[in-house]
Amino acid sequence: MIDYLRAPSGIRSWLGSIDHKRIALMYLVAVTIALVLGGAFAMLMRTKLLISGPGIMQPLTYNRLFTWHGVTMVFMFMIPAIPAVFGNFMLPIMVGAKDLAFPRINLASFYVYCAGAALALWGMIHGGADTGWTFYSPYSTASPTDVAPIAIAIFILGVSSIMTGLNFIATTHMLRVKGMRWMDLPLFVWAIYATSVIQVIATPVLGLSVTLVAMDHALHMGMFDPTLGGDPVLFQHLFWFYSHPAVYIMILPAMGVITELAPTFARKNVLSYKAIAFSSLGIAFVGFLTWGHHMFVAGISQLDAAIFGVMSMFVAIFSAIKVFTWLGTLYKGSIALTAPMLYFFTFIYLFAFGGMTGIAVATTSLDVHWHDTYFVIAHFHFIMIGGTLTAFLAAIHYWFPKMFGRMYPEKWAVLSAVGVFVGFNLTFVPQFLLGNAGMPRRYYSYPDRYHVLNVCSTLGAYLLGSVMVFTLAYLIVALFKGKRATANPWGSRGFEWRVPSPPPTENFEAPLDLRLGCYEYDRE
Amino acid sequence: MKRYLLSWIALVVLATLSLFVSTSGIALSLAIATVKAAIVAAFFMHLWGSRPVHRIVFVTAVCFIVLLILGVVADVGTRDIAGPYVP
Amino acid sequence: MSSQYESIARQHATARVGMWLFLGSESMLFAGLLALFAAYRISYPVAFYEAAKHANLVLGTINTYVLLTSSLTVALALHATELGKRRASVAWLLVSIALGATFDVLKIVEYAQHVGEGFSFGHYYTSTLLPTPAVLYFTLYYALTGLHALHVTAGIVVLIWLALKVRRGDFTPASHVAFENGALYWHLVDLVWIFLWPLLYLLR
Repeated sequence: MIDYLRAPSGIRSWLGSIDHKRIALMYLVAVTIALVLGGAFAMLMRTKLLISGPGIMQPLTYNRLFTWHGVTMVFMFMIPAIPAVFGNFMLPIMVGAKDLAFPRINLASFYVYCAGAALALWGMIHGGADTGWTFYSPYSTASPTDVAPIAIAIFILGVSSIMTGLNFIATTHMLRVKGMRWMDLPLFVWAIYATSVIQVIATPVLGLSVTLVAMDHALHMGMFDPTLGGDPVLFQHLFWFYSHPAVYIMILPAMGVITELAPTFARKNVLSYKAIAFSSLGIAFVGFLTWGHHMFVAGISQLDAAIFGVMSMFVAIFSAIKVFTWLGTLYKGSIALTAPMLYFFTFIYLFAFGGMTGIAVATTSLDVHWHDTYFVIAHFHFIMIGGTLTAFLAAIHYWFPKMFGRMYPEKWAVLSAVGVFVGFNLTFVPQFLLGNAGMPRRYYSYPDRYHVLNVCSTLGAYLLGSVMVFTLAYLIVALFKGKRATANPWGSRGFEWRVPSPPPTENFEAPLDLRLGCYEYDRE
Repeated sequence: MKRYLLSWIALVVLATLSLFVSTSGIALSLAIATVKAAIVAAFFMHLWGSRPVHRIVFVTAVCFIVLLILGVVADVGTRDIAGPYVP
Repeated sequence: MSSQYESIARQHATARVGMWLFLGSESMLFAGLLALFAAYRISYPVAFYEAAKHANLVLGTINTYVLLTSSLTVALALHATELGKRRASVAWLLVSIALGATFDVLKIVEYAQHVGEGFSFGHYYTSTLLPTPAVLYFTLYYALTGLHALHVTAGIVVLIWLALKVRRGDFTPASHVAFENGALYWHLVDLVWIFLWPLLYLLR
């Protein structure tokens, strides 16, 4: 049978394809471009921060850069990356289906993403915005830069996200192959499902909040204008109602990837299937109850702050359940230290550390000191890079043979994984120290006493950026020159490894045999 | 068919009732609105007697709408008694 | 039928699930505005009370009856298609479209009246009759009813599309899931107004 890459051929058969696998690859190209762009913005920012005083660039440029870095990374990479690439590719195969529930909506979601990305880039070229990716009122209303195009672009990108989530939920409910119950599903599907629920429920609120900012800026709507009696904090409520669950959109799929790696590379069943499955739902739900912890010093009432502080503690319980389950899965397993597993261990270490600092900043009294400092920046980069990006890299390596029918070069990948770990820590550990010592975030210049740590952080960023470019390079070469892969190079029980590498267009030559579960390593 | 007509009559009656009790406060008007909404959802939108997943989606959305409103009101409504943090 | 489905019935059932997910998502759009309304209402009870007196209760109430009735007529139109009665179905759809258009027209009349009295939104608000925060009532009024009216208008487009499909014979008593989904969208539009009406007009 011809695989999905080869037939049908021609650029138009790709651009108009409703095959979830081809759409996944188109998304892969798009989010990779976004990652490179967002990374470039970061490199420029870190370059400015090599010197403590003015120079290298104008302050307004710096403000634009941190805004563009945030918008590009959050909305064009972090939110769609694992779901729209690996969710799209793997979910139908993992439930035993030939495609998603709504393939044309899937293709449409890709073009909506492109439209949103194009508008955002146009807005950036047009000089907007300098508000930070959080668009806080009243500055977002008063800013001299062009706020509306980027704000509307975020709305459009959100629509793409909702379309993807809707498709995944419908597919999981209605397209499972005959005989596959909810408790037979691969745990990556549970993770994607929980993510999709958040996408469908939370994203419209973001859409509303950025639209109101765009209207306040362009049409003087005055919804959050204090001179008319408006309350800027209300914008923050609406914004964070989405943006806190959004971080779970970013981390849940990553956790799903990690969950797939552990049984495969330890050749052992997951320690507790139900613990992982239900903790995914738990994170999705409790994640909605915590948004006020971004607003502890914004002027909300102390009662509200107390409630959100307590709620924020609960969400960590589910993450902890997962970490212990992953480690318990490895315990007494037969562990293969491949590149994906190096990323696995990187994830466990950095996510656990980042997660603990999350509990720290969620402690209201401590956040008073750390809010809006580099401590917070370090915390969320530990989770986003140390967590999500690490899992994304793990996924691209793990599923590379399945998606492309070729192996990546293992030695280069191991070197890269080590480089990511070193570069990441050099970049962000100093930022915890800087934040704790009082360096505020989004500042163009800083007192000389922060100089050494800033230089260290920038050098780490250069290393991390170089390693990422190197990774992209060898992966692209592997697409054409990599050793041909078998259907199941890892010896995994996972459902996706029971179809050819790469799969045929309709995924299955024969229906999925459910007599052997996807984590059953104790029998043949 | 009869179900639709009866539902419509109930909705019209409830709407008219709302007009007359509007001076008794917003809570009563919203309670009546909730009943009307339940009628539209159950009978016009066929939630009564269709797949459970439809009801789950509907109830979930309602819960999150209430959550957002409550979270915001919990802040704005308590600033007088437990004001914001001032260092 | 698409190849990933085992039967056309399954495909239709999935389409209905997808529609409900879409409706769940759409209703979250209004959630944020409702939260803002609740917050400002709590912060400025007197200003909102005074501002609501200037809402056009007559037009708002007529619109309520218009929408409630349009839900009935849409349901009757779907019912007629389920029975294979094409002409009755188109007729009920046309009545529904007319009712929807009436809603939009009355809204425009209301907006024009408010703007004429100086009750515009945000910085275009010029009236001096009411305490300053009353402008927020009107800003939210335009935002809530404007977003809703956008949905009504989109719903009218959907109803027109359905009418054309019914006339063309695209639907049978066994297969009309697009009609079911379009009707669901219209009922959601009615549902939202059921809450907007007491919040904006019955605040007294």
